[in-house]
Amino acid sequence: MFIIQVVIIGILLVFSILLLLTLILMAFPKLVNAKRNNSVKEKQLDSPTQKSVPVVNQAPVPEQDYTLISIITAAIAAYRSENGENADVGSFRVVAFKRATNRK
Amino acid sequence: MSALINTAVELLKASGFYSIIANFMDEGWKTLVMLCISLLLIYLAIVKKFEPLLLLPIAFGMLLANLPLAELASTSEGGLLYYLYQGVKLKIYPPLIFLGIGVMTDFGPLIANPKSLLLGAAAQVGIFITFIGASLIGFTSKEAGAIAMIGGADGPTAIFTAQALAEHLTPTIAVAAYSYMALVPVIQPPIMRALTTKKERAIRMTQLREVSKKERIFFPILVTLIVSLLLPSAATLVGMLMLGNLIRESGVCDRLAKTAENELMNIVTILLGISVGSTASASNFLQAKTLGILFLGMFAFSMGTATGVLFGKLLCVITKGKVNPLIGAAGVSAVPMAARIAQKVGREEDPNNYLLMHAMGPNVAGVIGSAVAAGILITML
Repeated sequence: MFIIQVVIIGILLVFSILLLLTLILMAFPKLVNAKRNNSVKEKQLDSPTQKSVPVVNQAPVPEQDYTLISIITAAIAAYRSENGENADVGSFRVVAFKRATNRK
Repeated sequence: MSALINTAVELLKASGFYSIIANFMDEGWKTLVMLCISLLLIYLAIVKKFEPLLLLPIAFGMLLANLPLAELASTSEGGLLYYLYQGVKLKIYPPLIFLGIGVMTDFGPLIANPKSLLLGAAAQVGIFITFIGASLIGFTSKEAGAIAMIGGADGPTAIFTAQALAEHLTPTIAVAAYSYMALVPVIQPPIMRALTTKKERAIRMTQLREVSKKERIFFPILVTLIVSLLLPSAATLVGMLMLGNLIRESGVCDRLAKTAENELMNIVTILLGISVGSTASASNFLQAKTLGILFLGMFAFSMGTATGVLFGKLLCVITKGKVNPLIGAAGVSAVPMAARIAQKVGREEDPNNYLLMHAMGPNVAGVIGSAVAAGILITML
């Protein structure tokens, strides 16, 4: 009988405590970010941000490297333009790149 | 000449080899078995990479503790391992490990999707089901509670609970907990596939919202206050976990964060591992109970996975297909391996399905959930 009591009370307590935390966390954005612009809404999973999630054992795709190079190139070019270092973006070019990790 | 021979014989008699052979029928064979077990665990840690960071020190501690006449077991008062073991006995090391885990954990996915906490709670049901099973097969209620915590898939919590409830079972529980955590990729996928349909496994979940810095800072303070005020016995583990996380998220304690997640974590891991291993003497380990504990540990782990997935299915129904039930399996802690398994099994049905961040929510919720479950068992038993 004691065992059943422990199990029932235990499960109820675990759920109650975590449910309480859940409810508080659900109200969290409103409480904590009262002044914050609440415009960030849920987007579909296939957005670029979600795709950046690290995936274990993902096979390397050659196109990904070119995409990455394009993004890095654009970011550097934009940065240099903003800082007046090189308004002529067209003169910027990537001469070499190396993989960050060894892929087999 | 005879004096020389006498000295040689005395030296031989003082050796461990002689001790094993002379007492072979009593303790000698047990010592040999324990040395073989420790060598097997060393093999599993190094070659098979089964949680090597902890299994290797545990296995070597076990080896040292079973060296005849070396007096290195945790019970040999005055020896090095005896003093190191005080950190386990006084329940100091597991909370320090939690501090490091807190620094390394990103609770963002959990804050962004609070429902994950319920999945973390559901996966703890396996602990209580195992508690019933262990009690029914003859373990005392305290032993049953300590064994059941293996289902939390959280090594420090399992050790912490074992120390509080059944100190003599600590080495077996620690070995079982870390072994099964290493076997997550083997144990979980069949259960996950068996309890879900192809359609459910292919469910894509919406992207998580952005979590502000304020939320990240308030979260550890809030969790500590609520959990510790409701369940003071969980305050040690939850408090240290959340302290670590606050150090990380505050952004003003970089030096402390780096120390906690690197040097401190590594030092305590070595001390915890070798201390736990040093408790595994033949008299403690070579019992029929050990097999029962290993079986119950596997059962607890499987039940935790199953209840997590089943609750995920319930959430899937309630949310009209917005939750992929696979992420429920990640509720059994084992961070981040369990979340990676959810991702892997999900991608088997849809290679473009990205569940990892969604699974990280229940995964870190499982850490909180298992600490709460441990607190409940310690309080009630």
